[in-house]
Amino acid sequence: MISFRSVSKTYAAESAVNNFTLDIPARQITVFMGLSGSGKTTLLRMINKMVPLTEGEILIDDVDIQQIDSVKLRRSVGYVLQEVGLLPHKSVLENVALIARISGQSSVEATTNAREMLELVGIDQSFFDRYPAELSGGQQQRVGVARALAIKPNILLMDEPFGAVDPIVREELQDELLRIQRSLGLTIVLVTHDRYEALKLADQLVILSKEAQIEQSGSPAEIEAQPSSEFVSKLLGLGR
Amino acid sequence: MTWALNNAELILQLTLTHLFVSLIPLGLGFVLAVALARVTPAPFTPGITSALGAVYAIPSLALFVALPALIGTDFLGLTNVMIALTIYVISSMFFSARDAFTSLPPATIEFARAQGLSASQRFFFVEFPLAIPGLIAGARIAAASTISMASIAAVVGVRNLGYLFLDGFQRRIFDEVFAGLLAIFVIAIAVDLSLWLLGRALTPWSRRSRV
Amino acid sequence: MFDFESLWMWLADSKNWEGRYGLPNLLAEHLSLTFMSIGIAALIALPIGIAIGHSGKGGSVVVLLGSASRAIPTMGLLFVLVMLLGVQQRELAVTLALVAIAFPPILSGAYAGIRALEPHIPEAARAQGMTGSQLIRLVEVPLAMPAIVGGFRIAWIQVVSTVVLAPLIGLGGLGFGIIQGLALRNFDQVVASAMLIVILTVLGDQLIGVAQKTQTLKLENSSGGRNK
Repeated sequence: MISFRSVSKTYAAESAVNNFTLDIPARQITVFMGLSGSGKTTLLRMINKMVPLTEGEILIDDVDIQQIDSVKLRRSVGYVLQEVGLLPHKSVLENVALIARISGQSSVEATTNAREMLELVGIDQSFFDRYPAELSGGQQQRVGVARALAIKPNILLMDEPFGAVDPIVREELQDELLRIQRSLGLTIVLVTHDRYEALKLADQLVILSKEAQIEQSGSPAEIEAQPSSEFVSKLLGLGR
Repeated sequence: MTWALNNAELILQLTLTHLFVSLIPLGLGFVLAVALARVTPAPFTPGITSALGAVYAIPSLALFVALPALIGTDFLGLTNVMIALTIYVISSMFFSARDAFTSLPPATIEFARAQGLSASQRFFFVEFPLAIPGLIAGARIAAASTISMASIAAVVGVRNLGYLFLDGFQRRIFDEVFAGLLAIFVIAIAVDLSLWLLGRALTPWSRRSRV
Repeated sequence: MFDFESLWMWLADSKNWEGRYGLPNLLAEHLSLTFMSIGIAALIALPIGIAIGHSGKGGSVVVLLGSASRAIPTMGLLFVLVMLLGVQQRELAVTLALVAIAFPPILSGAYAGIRALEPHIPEAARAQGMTGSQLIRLVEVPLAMPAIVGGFRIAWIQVVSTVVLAPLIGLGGLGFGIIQGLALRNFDQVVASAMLIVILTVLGDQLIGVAQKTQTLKLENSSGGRNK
């Protein structure tokens, strides 16, 4: 479980996150949804200490992340971002095996694991030795997911992971993500501004407005049945 | 042509000195420029860029003879000239090195940080390899100018290919001067080509992309 | 370490400021050779560079010339031309060499400046009915100004440095003190001359730098104004 306790973040006197408290249950998908500028990405990047807190604390399984070395923490938390950010000078297989390799795993072990992960996300063997630039956008994001899974994380952070791929591929990737999450029992925190994605993937949906104020949180079904405000129903496109 | 054939041994010897005097500053300047570009905090970059720009504007002969007064090197020595050329390489390469490191794909850098690569791992596994094309481009420009500029060191007594200019001019042997010009041009192009090939060999990924 | 006091003595000595080889005369010679050759080079290089940048044809020649010119030692070029034309014609030979040295950077600056424009800019101008020459005059050249000035900056450095070598072929310029001083082992004269050359070249470079910045700011302000 990940717990935000009265977390705040200010950038040069401007508040991005104001007194945010939330529990993110383990082995579920929690989706942060809001307009741009709502602070949802900031919340996500706080979990792996990419953004330092101004106030409050974040606990992972009851351990304050302040107590965990940031390199160690980041190697145990998977990270997937919209632009993927594969290393252009490494092959697909090397990209997926890299973190395990530099953490001291043997090359055979790291490579075997990387192959498994690539197969898990549906990348054909024939692509393993190619460079990222030779892949389509959808394939690149699959590799991005495999790379994050290769470190055997319990937690996966995803920032608009499927925002840059076309709608048909996006749905495929969402289905695969659900399948993988169920089979590995991952705790996933996902940021999106796509209402369909949010409703489809979330176990816990958190609707955010300015300065990461929680407008409403709960299961998609609960929220759809009873939106707490005009803002929530507009954001989710709920007709009246 | 006859002159060159008759003096092949001299030309070879001068060529070796010429390569020595220009390649060592090139290598040294490359490393220093990359280090400087990498460690300079962003707020200082404009200041350093314009200071190095001013240094780059100094005519080489003036720097060759001003350096001894400033740092106490020997007026007519090899070290003096090589330090001056190193300074030129740094000032010519700093900007392109800085550029090579600041124009890396942001998502890749973000990922490397977020997934727990330490600062030195980021440099060796990610930043440096990706900066190679930009660094090589800068090095090629610096190499050609350094090799041709090194000939001016002959005026302060360094016996490299520039010696053929002074000696040939004094003795009115056109072929000698021309041989020097040609030899410098040829080694400058050869070094340029080698750097280009090196860049290609080090960046196989940049030649393949999705069709 | 070098003795700066004797350097001052040399500079303060009035006989170094008078006559054919006095500093004012050498400075005038240095500047006139520099400006004349950069001027001639610009008259030829600018129209060609702009035309190539505008039409897009022949760009590879410009790039090739740019990199080949870096590999040619300026001293060798100078000597070769003087020997070909004869020592009596050395003023012409020096001017030719300097023009040849200033030509590639000015050409590249103009060409690269126009080429670097986003393709939609000339496209939009044409779509609004601008003729080719209006496009050059009103759009391409003004937007390429920073790069054009940048070309002059490199030309200045190259030419002013090469003029330092002019005393080697019996002409004047500020390099005279270096060449004569080295021959006579009068290092005060050498260092004093070098310092003056450094001041002149760096000052010139900074002035052109300011011009370049002004041009860039002018563009940023005008486009910023439209966007906001």
